[in-house]
Amino acid sequence: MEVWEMESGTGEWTNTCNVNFEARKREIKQFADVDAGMTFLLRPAGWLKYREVVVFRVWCTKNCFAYNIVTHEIDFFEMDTNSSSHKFEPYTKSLVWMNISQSPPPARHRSRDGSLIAATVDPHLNTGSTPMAKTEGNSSGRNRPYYFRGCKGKKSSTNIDSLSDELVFDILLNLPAEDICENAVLVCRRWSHMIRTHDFVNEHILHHSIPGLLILDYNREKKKNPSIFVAMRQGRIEISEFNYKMRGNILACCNGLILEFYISKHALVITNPATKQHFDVPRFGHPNCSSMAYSAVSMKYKVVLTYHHGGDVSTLRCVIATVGVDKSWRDVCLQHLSFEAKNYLYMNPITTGGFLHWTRRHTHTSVVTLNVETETITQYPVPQGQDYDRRYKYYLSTGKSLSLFISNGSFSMEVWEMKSDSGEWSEMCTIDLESRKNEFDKLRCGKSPTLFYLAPASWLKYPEVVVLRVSHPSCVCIAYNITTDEIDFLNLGSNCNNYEFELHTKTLAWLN
Amino acid sequence: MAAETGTPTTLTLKSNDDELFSVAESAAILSVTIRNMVEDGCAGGVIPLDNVDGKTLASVITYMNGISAIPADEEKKKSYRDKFLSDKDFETLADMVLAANYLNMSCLMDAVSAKIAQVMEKKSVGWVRRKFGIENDYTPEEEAAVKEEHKWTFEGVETDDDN
Repeated sequence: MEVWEMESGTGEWTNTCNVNFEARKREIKQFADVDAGMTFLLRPAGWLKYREVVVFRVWCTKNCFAYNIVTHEIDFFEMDTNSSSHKFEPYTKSLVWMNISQSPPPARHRSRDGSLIAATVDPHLNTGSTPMAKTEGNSSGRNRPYYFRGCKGKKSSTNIDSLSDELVFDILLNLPAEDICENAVLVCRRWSHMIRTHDFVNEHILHHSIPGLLILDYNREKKKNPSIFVAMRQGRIEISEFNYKMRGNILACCNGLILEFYISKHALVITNPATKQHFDVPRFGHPNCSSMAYSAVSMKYKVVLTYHHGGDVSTLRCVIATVGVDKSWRDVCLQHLSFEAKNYLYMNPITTGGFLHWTRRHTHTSVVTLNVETETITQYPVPQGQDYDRRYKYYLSTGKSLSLFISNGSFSMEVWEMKSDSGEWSEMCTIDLESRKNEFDKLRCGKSPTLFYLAPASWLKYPEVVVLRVSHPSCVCIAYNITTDEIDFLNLGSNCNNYEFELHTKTLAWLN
Repeated sequence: MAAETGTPTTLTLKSNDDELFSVAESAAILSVTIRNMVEDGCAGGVIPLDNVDGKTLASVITYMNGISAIPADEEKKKSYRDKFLSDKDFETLADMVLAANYLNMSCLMDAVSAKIAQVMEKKSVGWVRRKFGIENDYTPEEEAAVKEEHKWTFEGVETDDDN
């Protein structure tokens, strides 16, 4: 065969050399042990040393050989399985790594004159050694490739333990966080080590990134109603009791971590109910409201507090601390905010990914957004329209962005979404259940004198399923699928208006 | 590789226990491993699959034919996968994950991994060890220490019997 090479910069091709082993065909055929009925084909698999040594595989057999173009030497070797099921990649052992994450993945640096790695796609072999061929330095006139035989593939059909780490990793990623913490870590040391890596924790968060809904009774002191967890799985809505007993008020939920205020200790604590870990937050006087967000770039969680003295705007402060790093609090600059916007900071903010948003439902013209990455606060205008200031408005977190519901009537509303980094609003859809209002009649309370209407409580799966509640006292709330127009009624066991709704994901997120 | 257009090409796959299977090339190339072999120019010959037994290969081929008959509609493909895996027992799933990995079929691989995890959910540690053939390599003290670390509730775990 002819060998051509392309200059990557110019796309220019040149014929660099020719490979011809017609003369040694018999020798190769004898070694390759090709069945009489099979085609005898040679396929180049990779350069072992560019312009000198190239590795060929004999099609559909286990056999390969390294051919030295200059000296015409041939070295034969055998893979454990069909050589076509292996992938040959140039690979150099190097120290390169990307220092973005705390646990750098083994870096791969490819180079043309590197070694050739035969990455087998066979799981049995993968657990052992991957055969690696390498040419020795040019001191010893002869370029004899070294090759290692991987351990022979075991033929045990049901023993999953023989699966490679990658396969076990992929399977365990699918398990809910509680199963991992309560069972999988106890199975064996290998599983436990795998689960406790940053890689696994981060992949698990990505894999389970659609938040569920944590529904909490406002009157938790009386401890009457258990907390409820609602999640969409396989297209169905699952309601379960939330096992963790809250010690105090829940202030924010972020990536599976919950920021709580322990009334008895008068302290802020971050909890992961799935891994059962607690983490203390540095103390700060008597904050008026507290929240938490995740900065994805630095992979850190930050707690944000606002504080004012007796409602006096001139004493207003917004402070921030990185969890697990900072011992003290930093001030966020608030000088550029309008008087009205500063007043928003008295309220509890809404968390969306790496942003916190302060709003006021009525008398509003803007949203105040804190980017926890840059620790800068910006005031963005909200959609304006005819009589918008007289309509009901509800701000809800989608998990990743801020959404705004503007009521059009008792059973219909417009849905808007804001881009957190630019403050740009776009209208997403309109929910119109006016024609189906009879279906909600059973939730109507005859004695209640107030107007009967729907109000959004939370997203259950953005942008498809939203949970609505009715203005009258009712144990039942409504899960409405915007895409399919389906309605599900969820019985929460107690008046929905006594519950607060928080987006929550069950994850393995940890802080140390 | 000069595949004639018009008539669909059929491939012959050979399992490690020497069973032969015919399958349409268009379905078989869902497997990247097979696709590579086809691109290597073996559309006419027998493709030996050293790591898949006949029973598993038959199952995988059923899946290949089923899923490739569905036009590009992710929802329908997903429901086919769910249905396909719904009646498989744990041992079959274990064989399938090995086969899907060897054949480099990511869609089947992900679905089977998720299904195995679903079966494992709420099962006791003993069940998982037994089903996976894993030896407990913790000392009793270590095991107690790990349990201690995650102690709040051990509620909701199913009793320790098979299924």
